[in-house]
Amino acid sequence: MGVPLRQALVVAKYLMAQKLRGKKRFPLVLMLEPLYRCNLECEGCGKIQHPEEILNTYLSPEECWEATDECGAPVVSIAGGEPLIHPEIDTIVEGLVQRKKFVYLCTNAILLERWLPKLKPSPYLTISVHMDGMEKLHDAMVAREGVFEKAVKAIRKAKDLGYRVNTNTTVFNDSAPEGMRELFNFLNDDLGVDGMMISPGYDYPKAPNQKVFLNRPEMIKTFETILDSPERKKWRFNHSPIFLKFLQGKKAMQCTAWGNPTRSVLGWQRPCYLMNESYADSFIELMEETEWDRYGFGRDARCTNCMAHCGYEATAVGSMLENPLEGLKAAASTIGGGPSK
Amino acid sequence: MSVLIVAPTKREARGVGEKCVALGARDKSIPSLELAIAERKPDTIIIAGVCGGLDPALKKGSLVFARQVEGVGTESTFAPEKMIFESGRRALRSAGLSFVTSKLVTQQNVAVTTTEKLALWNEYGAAGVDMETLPLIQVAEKANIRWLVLRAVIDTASTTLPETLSNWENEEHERGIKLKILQNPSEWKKYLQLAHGLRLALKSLRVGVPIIQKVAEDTVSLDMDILAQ
Repeated sequence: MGVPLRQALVVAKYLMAQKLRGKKRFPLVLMLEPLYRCNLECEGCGKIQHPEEILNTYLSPEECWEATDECGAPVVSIAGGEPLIHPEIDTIVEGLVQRKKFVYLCTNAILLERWLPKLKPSPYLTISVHMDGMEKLHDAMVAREGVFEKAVKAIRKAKDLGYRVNTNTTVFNDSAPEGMRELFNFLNDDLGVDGMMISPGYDYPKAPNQKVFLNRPEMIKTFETILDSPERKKWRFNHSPIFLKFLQGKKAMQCTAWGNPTRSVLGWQRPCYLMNESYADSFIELMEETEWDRYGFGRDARCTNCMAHCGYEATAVGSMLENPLEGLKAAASTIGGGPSK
Repeated sequence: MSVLIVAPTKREARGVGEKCVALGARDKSIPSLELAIAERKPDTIIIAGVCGGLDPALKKGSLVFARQVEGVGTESTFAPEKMIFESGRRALRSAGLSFVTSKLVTQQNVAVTTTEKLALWNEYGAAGVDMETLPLIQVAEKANIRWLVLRAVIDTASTTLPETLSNWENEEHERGIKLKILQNPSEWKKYLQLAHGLRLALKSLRVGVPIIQKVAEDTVSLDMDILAQ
């Protein structure tokens, strides 16, 4: 329900082309981090702990477009840091939309209202707002009061202006299942967002609060409880049903780290969006010189408590290709995302 | 450096190669290994054999080079000596083999159903499951001998094995199972698939074990006085 038909068709065509070319590894979503600077310091974030000179480094629009062309993935997720701090974020987005990339602009929405007049609604652009819970929990997780209210206001305005808006929710150990259900009902019914993304928090060693993370069995139990609800059917998730089954421990999957390659101000990050072991100078170097089989659940201790969509959604999409019947069923329940409200 | 290569069954030992010692049934495997250690005084033991696949990315014949071995329902976890393990990993990679370095889990019975395999995967994150490795490592550890484990996947995570295999203990007691197979034609297809998996797994082991063996022969322990040899 949460993925627009146009995007689903383009991605399906891209996947078939890769398959026909016999490519074993190919990217699905480029994770583009044009800066690490952020205007929040969330409890569970391990992305922004860099020295000042790195925090002051931004990728130029040209570098962003070059990375996108080099990678070739049909979807680009702009993350960071807070992308809306970048002074040329509108130019970056415009260039990506011109390239017909499906852009997910991830933001905490603090600066969103300021940028809305400068961005342009497009079927290729989705604004993805970080929402970790209802007001009390969200403000606690982002360690700043008033952020929830500001994000809600910005989402309403973006929807009014005709933008496609998604939300991105990270589940931590304070995310009580009933609170998550309340959040999804609110986002789905009251705000009418076009799609919702959920993912368990990754236990970044550098995150300010190490107590917020769930271990894998706890994640499975939490997602089982959240998703085992009659309301689940109406929620418009921007995920494949296979990934949601995986989160509930009902489907065995291994990580596809190369599915979401990451280009940051430091280069092409190895091996994945969440772990920064080293950096490659080019996308080809990243794909060809990384020992991919060394990473994943069971293979690397750092992957033990990772069930994040940046590693596993690509696996889910890949398994739809391998099992066309399952793929068709999944497509039927995922595609459709016209404006919801 | 002297290397002892062992496998749990004669079938696996034959597949690995003539230097491989079959340890026999589970209750016999520990004294068999102790005896082999006493006779050969190895510096390294390589435990080779097949395993059930738990990592859904693995295919029949994929090699699992164990970076950790754990027992189901126990607190026992063992890891091989880092230096020799890393050398082994690099050698397998240089040879261009399809393998993963991952966890291996040992339990008392055959993991027959996909549900059982999924539960093991979710709980342990092990690439494969077998019935013998952990007690053999405990023997090696007790004798202060370094060890390596190389297993090959015989059945994948998405495969349900024939029901008759749930009572399998060792190859010396297979007559009863063979009779049940004959009486149950609905399982023949699954056994044929298993035979195919065994062929691929043994083929991979035949290539992989000599590579690990060479690494073990060439790697000297840090506490060994080479000049005194």
